[in-house]
Order: sequence, then C-alpha cells, then structure tokens
Amino acid sequence: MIAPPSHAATAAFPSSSDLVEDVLERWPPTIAVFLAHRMACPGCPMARFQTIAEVADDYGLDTDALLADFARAIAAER
Amino acid sequence: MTPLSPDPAVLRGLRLFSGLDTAALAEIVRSAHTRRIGKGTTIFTQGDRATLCHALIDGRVKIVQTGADGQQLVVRYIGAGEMFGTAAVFSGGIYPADALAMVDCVGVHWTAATMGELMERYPRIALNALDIVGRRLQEVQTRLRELSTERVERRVAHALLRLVRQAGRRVGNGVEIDFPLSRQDIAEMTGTTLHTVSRILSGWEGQGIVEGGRQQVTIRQPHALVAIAEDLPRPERPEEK
Repeated sequence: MIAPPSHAATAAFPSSSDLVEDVLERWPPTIAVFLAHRMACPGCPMARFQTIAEVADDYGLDTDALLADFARAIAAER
Repeated sequence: MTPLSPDPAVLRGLRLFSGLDTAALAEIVRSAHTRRIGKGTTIFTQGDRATLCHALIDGRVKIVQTGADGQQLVVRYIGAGEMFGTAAVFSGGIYPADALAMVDCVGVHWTAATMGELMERYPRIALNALDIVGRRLQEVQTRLRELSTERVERRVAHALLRLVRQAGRRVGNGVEIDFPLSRQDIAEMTGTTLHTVSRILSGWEGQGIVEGGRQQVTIRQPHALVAIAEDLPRPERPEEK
C-alpha cells in the first residue's frame, strides 16, 4: 500500500493541517519559531499526533500568524 | 544608613507588637535602631550569626537562599510591617538566607539581647512571635505538600508521555496508548503507590485530560498533559469544544 504524499512532502511552507512533527522535520527553521513562542513542541512525544492548528489553539495563538512566522523563518534560511 | 528619629507610630501595623499600649510601644521604639536602607543593600548575609531582629517599616526586601549547588531561591518577599531574620535570632543560630533591599527602605532592628528583655517585660510580644512563626510554619507545610504532589503528578505525566512516544496512536478524540496498561503498571513506572496514581488519574479524568478503561488510557487533551509534565502555564479551558 502506498501512502498518499503528505502536504508537508511537497509544499513550500507549512499549513494548518500539517502534523507538528512533520513541520519540524521538513522545515528545521521552524524550531526557533516554536521556541520563541515558548511552545514545548520540539522533542515532544505528542508532536506527531497534533496539527499546527491544534497546538496554536493549545497555546492561545492565532494559527495564521503562527504560519506567517514559520514562512518568514523558512524564507530567511533560503 | 542615616539614623532616624524614633517615632512609636512606626511600630503600628507590626504584628509582633499588636495589642501593646502606647507607653509600651514608646519604650520598644526607644530601644530600637531605625535607619534608611538604600536600594540594593544587603541587610544580612546567609551564614552570618543572627544577632539582630529586623522589621520593615517601609519598602520591600527579598530573602534569597543560595543552595549548595549555587542555585538561588527567593524564599519570601517582605513588605512594610513584617519582621524578618527573627526566627534565626530566637533559635540562636545563623541567618539561613540573604536579605536584600529591593527598593529604598526604612528598617528597624533590635539586638537579640534587647528583644529578649522586651519579651520578658511584655509576654504579649512572645505570644505574637509564636503566632507569626506558627503561621509561617503552616505556609511552609502547605507549600511542601503542594511540591510533593506536583512532583508526583509530573512523574505520572512523564510516564504517560514516554508510553505515547512508544505506543501512541491517534484516535478520533485524542491519543490512545495502544498497550494494555494498568494503574499498577503506572505506579511501578513512577515509583509511587497505586492509590496515588488512581487519585491523580481520577483528577485528570475529572478535568477531561485523560480517559481510562481498566487496562487502557486515552489522552483527550494532549497539551494539558504536556503542560503538567513540563510545568508549563496551564491552558485555560473555559469551554469544551
């Protein structure tokens, strides 16, 4: 059985439905963004079960603003 | 360190001298040394012999203890009307912490000998001191109980997260530990008792953080469990989604 390619495998930037662990693996510059928001996601065992939208909600952050921060950090590394 | 002219009014509001009449207060203030203390001044140092009883008339003082590992802990903050460094004097020992003036302060102090004489003359002072020390002891016991409970809660949360790492599975309403897991197993993993684990898990179930069958645990609020394990600020959950 071949799994369908995940969004994170092809997209240029993370989206709200991506799993946190996929985002951390595919775009390492996002680690700094998580830490800057005092989020415990990097290294967290729950990271592979939770989406960006879910953790943004958990920490009371705006999902779009968080995605924009990710995009800025990723673009700065390119 | 400018000496100030003593004024019995400065002692009003100090619990140590509550219930004493004006004449007694006047005598107590005459035997005291009042002074201004500049911001940043160390009033006494951890390890020094405790020879002075201090009270703060105005300002704010921080009591800071340094552990053997060099780590500093703020033991308490002292505000106007509170005594400090006094318990060490009564027990004839050494100051267990530093006292630092956080702002410009006005302080008053008595030598240990003077305070002893005052207590003999006015037993009310000794009774007040007992009341103050008793309250502090209760605060410490409450804090100690909170700390040990928190520590066990964090251990149990960490144990569940380790199991999630190994055997977690996303299910519709959270993350399931796909592994037969009894409360006794969790107790053994965390070095605590079955009773304690049951109490903690029941509490978390009540808050909707986890959901457990007899042999199985589902984490309904993954972030809340992480927050307990990592001592993060607890998420506000005013309404359930």
